[in-house]
Amino acid sequence: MSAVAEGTTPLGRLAEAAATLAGGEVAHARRRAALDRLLALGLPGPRDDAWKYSNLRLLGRRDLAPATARPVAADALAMLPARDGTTVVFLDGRFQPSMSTAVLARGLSVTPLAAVLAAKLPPALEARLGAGDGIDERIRLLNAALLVDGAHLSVAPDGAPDQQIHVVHLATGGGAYPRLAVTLAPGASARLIEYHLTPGDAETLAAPVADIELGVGARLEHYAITLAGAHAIELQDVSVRVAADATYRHRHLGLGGQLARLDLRVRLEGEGASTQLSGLLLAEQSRQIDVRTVVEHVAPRTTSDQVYRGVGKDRGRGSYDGKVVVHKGAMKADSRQSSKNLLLSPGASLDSRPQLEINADDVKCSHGATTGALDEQMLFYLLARGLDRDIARALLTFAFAEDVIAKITLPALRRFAEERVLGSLPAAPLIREFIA
Amino acid sequence: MATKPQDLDSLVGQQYRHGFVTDIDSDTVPPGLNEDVIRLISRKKGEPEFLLNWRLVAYRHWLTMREPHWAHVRYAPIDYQAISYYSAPKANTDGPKSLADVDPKLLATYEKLGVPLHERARLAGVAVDAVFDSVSVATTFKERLGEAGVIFCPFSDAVREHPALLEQYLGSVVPTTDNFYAALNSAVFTDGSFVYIPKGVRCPMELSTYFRINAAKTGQFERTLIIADEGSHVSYLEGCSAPMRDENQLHAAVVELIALRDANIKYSTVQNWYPGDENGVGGIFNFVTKRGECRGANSRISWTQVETGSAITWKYPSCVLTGENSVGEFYSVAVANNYQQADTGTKMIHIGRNTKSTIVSKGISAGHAQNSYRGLVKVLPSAEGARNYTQCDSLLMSEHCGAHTFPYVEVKNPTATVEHEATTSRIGEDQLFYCLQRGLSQEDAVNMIVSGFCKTVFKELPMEFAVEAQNLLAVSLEGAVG
Repeated sequence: MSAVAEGTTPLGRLAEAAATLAGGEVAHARRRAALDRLLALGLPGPRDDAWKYSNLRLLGRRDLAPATARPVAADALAMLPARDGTTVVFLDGRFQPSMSTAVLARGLSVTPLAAVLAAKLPPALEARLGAGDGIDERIRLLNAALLVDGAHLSVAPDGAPDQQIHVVHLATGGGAYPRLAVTLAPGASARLIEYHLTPGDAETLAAPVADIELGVGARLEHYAITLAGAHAIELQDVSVRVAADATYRHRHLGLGGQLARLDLRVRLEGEGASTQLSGLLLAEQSRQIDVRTVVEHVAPRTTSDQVYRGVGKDRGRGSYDGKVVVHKGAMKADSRQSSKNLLLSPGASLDSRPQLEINADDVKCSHGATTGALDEQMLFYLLARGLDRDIARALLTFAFAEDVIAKITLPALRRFAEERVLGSLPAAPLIREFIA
Repeated sequence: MATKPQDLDSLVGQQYRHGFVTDIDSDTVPPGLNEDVIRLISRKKGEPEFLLNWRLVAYRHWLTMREPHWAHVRYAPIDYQAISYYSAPKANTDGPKSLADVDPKLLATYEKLGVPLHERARLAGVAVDAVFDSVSVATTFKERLGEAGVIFCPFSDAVREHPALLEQYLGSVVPTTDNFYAALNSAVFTDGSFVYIPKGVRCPMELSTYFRINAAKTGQFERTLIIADEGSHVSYLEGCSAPMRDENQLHAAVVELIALRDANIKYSTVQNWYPGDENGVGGIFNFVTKRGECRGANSRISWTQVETGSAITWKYPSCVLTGENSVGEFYSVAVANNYQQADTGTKMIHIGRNTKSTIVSKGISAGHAQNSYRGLVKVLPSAEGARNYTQCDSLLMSEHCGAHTFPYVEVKNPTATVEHEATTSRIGEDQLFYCLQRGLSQEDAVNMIVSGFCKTVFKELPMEFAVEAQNLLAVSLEGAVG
């Protein structure tokens, strides 16, 4: 992975692409620094323990150069659920003011990064634009090496409570490397809903990176909804810092893509901080969905709760790799992890790896993981009541996914997610009747 | 939790009971490793050609390998050229004919360890193939086993007497290329135990070996091979203790178990090697590869281990479940105190239909110790109806220690059912209060709670081991709770 012949390997082509990007001297130097570091480290490979389940060979033939935004149909967002509040649209990693909401909710500010990037920034901000402190430096470096745009979203202390901020990522082909910085002031609260779409089902690579900071007592509900097509590779990297008494929730719906991976790191830095993470990994057809989380309990009395459900169908593959780290001195930390996988077809495979790394004694940590087929007894119960075998299986599969879907607090989004899961099941109308 | 620091100091400051060096002349090869040393070992042991070649292949492969560093342990680099690879007690050219011929100093060593060879052997009905450094010096109950057709002998005897069996089975579960330490062991192993249970035989007694590390600076490279032929049954006990020493000693053993159709192997270990002093100086590096293969249908392999010793433990007794309906089990208690580091667990590889595995792991960390469970449950597409249950619990007894859990669950068959559960906590103050309030001392209360925590594993141990394990646990953890 060290000696890279430029132009032939993904990394070599990446160097060529980075050299052609606009943005002036400062932006160029920043990208070059990231690229040099990435060239030295190499992209993650199958020998990396944390990447053993993700097949990055797909990157080999992919066009990594940042796409020049192609025009998209005006109704590109029509498939999304009804949205209140602010909508911010990125097309191939670039902010699109024309498609975004003009009038922002109270207390919210949206700063596009493209203009800011050309100048030298204060060190604290500069650090947030580099590799930052994600789980895996390399995806962040990939983003930083090709960074042209992004946005800084900031909610002031007096912002409208629980306001909805919808961020839509559209990819039309080639690479997209948007960077999101989100800051919630102390006491602020918001819902951030990210959608990932590939209109036209093009071959794409997206490596969106987000840095999120929650002030004291702030609350953020963060949804990540992957609806990309069957030729999309998506490597999301999210890093979150949570101050005292603040709460961060992440709800992941992996419903699309060829290879969709999320690396999520949450640091509970203040006393009483808490986080709740959940995800539905719908691995059907030949889709691969991987989730890796690292939750760090840095401060005392912090709590974390993770619930992940994987459904493996056809030749789908998926993995959950979740690590909870309790630092020295993080007494009274309370952590739970639950990972359940449902295998429906012989060709599907699901892996899970719930890990605990505990360096303090006064803690309560547990995890549970199960993998298997549908429960025969439950199936029998439904069959005995006259249900068709296919319908019974569909109903149980839906109920399995509902564990996670039920955590969605936005009604429109929840119905949308339910429909997406139903869409892949037989007897959808009947199940709709059941849940109505 | 009001134990005073000075009480703790006196309790934690306990000396390692089994620390002593028996002064016997050793026939030791100078430190260093190259092909000549391997040829010398092979010649000294009078090995056939195939075994020498096998060693050399392993050595050449080892040279291409890098030391693994993925385990959650830290240690200073090991200089493999500073180790002496062969050491045998002298005056052993003819081999002792009976217990009376055994060097009395040697017997005294076992005496101190609480293993009175002759007494224990007779009373407990246990045949002891005592391994002292690298050459077995005493074997009892050979005749009784011989009547049943069971072969239980030092590895070097097996090389001479049963080369065909060896050629067929050696390295068939742990190939020479398996991992860094297994390759090293394959190249330089000096002795160990060999067991063969013929078809349909239920071994008339529990087989047991005591491993000891004695001469300074000699790494031990034991090799154990157990073959249970169709329909046979064997229970094997392995117990260890080593003298006190300031320098780290490397121990890289390989254990291979092969269970053919309807065979049953139970392998129990109590490991109590020198863990280093309370400052983390010295102690054994225990880098062991243990693996069993349930090759035939309806076979069963069960690993039970109680790990209280060693400065570093790196050990994953595993089961490859190839035969239909075969069963793999792993029961483990790992205790780490002071600066001990343990990275231990198991691998269950489900290949055959309806294979089942159970994993119960109990980790206890105290002092500044790091204790990790690392396990893999892998269900291959061919393993229709496979079933696994895993439970791993950790108990934390100080604010400076660490307890980690790294389970890997990989399932490629939709009819499989795999369950994993893990908890980590410290001894409940309410439990402790309850015991203290009923008049128990803090030490007794902790012992009782810890025993309860480990009970599911201890009940899998053969009786005499269970008692030893219980005592060992109490000694290892004395003064660990504050």
